[in-house]
Amino acid sequence: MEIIKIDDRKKLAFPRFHHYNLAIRYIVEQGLEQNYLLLPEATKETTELGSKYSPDYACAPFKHTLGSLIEAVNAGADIVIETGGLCRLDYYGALQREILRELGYRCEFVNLAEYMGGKKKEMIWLAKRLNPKVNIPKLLAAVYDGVKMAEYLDDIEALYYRNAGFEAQEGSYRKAYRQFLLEMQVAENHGEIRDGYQKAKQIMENLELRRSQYPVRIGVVGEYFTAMDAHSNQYLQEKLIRLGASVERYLNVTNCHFRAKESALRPRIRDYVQFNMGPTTTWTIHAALDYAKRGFDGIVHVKSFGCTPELDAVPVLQNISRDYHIPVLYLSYDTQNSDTGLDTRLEAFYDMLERKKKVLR
Amino acid sequence: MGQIHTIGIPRGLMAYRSGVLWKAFFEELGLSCVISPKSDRQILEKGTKRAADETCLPFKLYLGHVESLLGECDAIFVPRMGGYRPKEKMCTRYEALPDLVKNIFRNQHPNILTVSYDWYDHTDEAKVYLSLGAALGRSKSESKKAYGAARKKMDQWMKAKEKKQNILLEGDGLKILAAGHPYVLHDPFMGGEISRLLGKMGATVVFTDYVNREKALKRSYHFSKVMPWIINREMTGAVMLLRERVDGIVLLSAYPCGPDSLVNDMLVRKVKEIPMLSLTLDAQSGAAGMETRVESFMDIIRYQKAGGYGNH
Ligand code: SF4
Ligand code: SF4
Repeated sequence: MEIIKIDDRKKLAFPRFHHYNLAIRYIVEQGLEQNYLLLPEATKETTELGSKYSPDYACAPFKHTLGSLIEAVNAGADIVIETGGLCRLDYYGALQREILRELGYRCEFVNLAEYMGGKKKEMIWLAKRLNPKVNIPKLLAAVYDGVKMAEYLDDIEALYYRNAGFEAQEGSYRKAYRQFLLEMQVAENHGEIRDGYQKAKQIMENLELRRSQYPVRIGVVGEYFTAMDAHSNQYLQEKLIRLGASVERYLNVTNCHFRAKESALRPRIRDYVQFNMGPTTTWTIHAALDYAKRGFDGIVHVKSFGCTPELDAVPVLQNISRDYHIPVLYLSYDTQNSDTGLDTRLEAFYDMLERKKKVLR
Repeated sequence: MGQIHTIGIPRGLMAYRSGVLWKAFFEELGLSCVISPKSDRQILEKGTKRAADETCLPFKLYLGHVESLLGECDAIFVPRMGGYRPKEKMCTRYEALPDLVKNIFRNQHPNILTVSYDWYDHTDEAKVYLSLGAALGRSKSESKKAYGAARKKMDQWMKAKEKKQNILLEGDGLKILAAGHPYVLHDPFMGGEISRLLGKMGATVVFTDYVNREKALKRSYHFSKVMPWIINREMTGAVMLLRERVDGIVLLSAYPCGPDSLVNDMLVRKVKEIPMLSLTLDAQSGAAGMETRVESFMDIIRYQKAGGYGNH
C-alpha cells in the first residue's frame, strides 16, 4: 500500500474566476496530483485588498484577481498561478508578481503569459514545474474531464438563469443549483462529474414553473471577466431574474474556447463589422445581434471601467440598438460601485422593458 | 471603391509614428494627401461628441480629426493594426479602428481606405503595403516600388530625428526625457504643451520615440519578456537606454490608457535611480493645470543636481 504524505504535496491557487475554479480544482487534484486551495466566495474585503495595491487605472479584473492572489497567499498557498491572454490580461501576471514581491510575499508565482506559446514542450515543462513527478497521461485525462466540467457548469448555469425567475416554489431552483455546485466541488472522477450534471439537469427540468406568457427576456453581453464573474458584476444576473426576467448570456468559457471560433462568428455580424475588433468584441456584437433578431426585450452590456475592447463595441451596439429598437443598458464597473445604485438602474431598466412590452402587445 | 485622387490622413494616433511612411507611399503612387490640421480645442470638442465618455483622449482627438476630413478628400485612411508579433502587438483599439470609425460616422457615409494586419497572420510590413496598394487598384510592382521609396523616406526622417536628439543629449544643460506614446508626446494638445512648459523652465527635452526603434525594442526585453505591446516596448526600451544620460523622466499618459495603466506603474516600481514625474492628461483639462507639478519637479531636479540630498 502506498502512503501519501499530505505534507509532500504543494498547495496551488488560482485567482477566483466565477465558477471555473471548481474545474481547475479538479485538474490540479486529479491531474497534477497536488493540493488545490479553493478560495471561498469573494467578499468586499477581497475587492478592497486588490484595489488598495493596484494601480488606480488598472481594469477591475486586475484588482479582483490581485485581491484573490493576496488572500490565497495568506491562506497558505505555495504556488499561485495567474493566467495570460489577450489585451492587458497578458501583463497582469508580470505586474502582480512584482506587487506581491514588493509586499514581501515569498510564494512561488507562475505566470502563464510566459507559456502562452501553447507549445506542447512548454506545457509539459510547466506541468513538471508544478509537479516534478507528474503523470502526463493522467494529467491529460483530468484536463479532458475538467473541460467537461466547465461545460456542465456553463450549461446548468444557463438553465438556472433562463428559468429560476419563474420557479413555482421559491428557492427550488437555487437549491438544485447549489447541490450541483457542491457535487462538482468534491467530484473525483469522470463518472461523478457526469452523474452530478445529469441529476441537476433532470431535477431542474422537472421543477414546476409559473412563467408568464410573455416574460421579459434580457441578454447579457460584454467583457470576458466582468460579464461572467458574478462577484465582479455584483450578481447582475441574479438581480435580473429576481425582477422577473429570463436571462441569457452567450459569453462563457464553453462558447468562447470550446465551441464557436471568432472567424466563424464574424460573418454573421458583417452588416456592422468587417474585422476582429478585439478579444471578445466579436462575441459581444454577435450575441447582441442575435438577441435583437430573436426578439429579446433588452440587452445589458457589462464591462470594467475603461475596458478598451469593450468600449470599442459600444458604437456598434448603439447602431444595433437603433436598427432593431432594442434598448441597451451600459454598465461600467470599477471596484467602488454601490449595490443600491445598481439595483435602482436595473429596476428602472426592467420596468421600461416591461412597459414597452405591454404597449406593443 | 470609386476613383481616389486625394487621401485624407487624420493627424492623430499612429500618424505620429508612421505618418511619413503613409504619406510618402500614397504620394509615390501619384495620389495627393490632405492632413487634418493640428489638434486644438475645436477638434477635441468634435471628437468628444462622437466618442463614448470613457475612451482615451487620443482617440477622442482622432475622431475630431476624422470629422474635419469629411468632404475634404476621396477617402480617409484608417488602417487596422494588430501588430506583427505576439509580444509586439498594438493596443486593441488599433484593431478596432476602421470598424469604429465606420460605426461612429455611419450617417456621414465616409469612404474609408483601410489595410489590416495581425500578429497571427505571419505577415510583414512590405506585404501589408502590397495589399494597401491593391486596395487602391495598383499593381504589385507599382506598390512595391512605392513602398521601397516610402520606407527610405521614413528611415531618413527617423535618422534625422535620432541624430538631432543625440546632439541634444551630448550638450550641457538639464535634460528631461519625455516618455510615452508618440501621439501623446507630440500632439500640441497633449505632450506638446508639456514640452513647451519644460522648455520654458530651461530644460532640454528629449523623447522616447526619437530613439532608434530596433535598439529600443531589443532593450525592452530586458525590462519585460511578456509585455505584449510594441509601443510600450519602444517606450520602456528607450527609457532603459537613456536613463543615465538624462536628469529626469516625465512619463506622459493620456487618460484612460489601457497599456499605460499597467506599464507605467511597473516603470515607476523598477526605475528608481532617477527622478520621475508621472502625468496623466485628460479630455477636460488636457495639459492645463500641470504647470505647478512640472515646476516643482524641475525644482527637485535642480536641487539634486546642485548636490542636494548629500550627493556630494
Ligand atoms: S478586456 Fe478589458 S478588462 Fe480585460 S484586460 Fe482588456 S481592458 Fe482589461
Ligand atoms: S494605447 Fe492608450 S492612448 Fe493609445 S489608443 Fe490605446 S488606450 Fe488609447
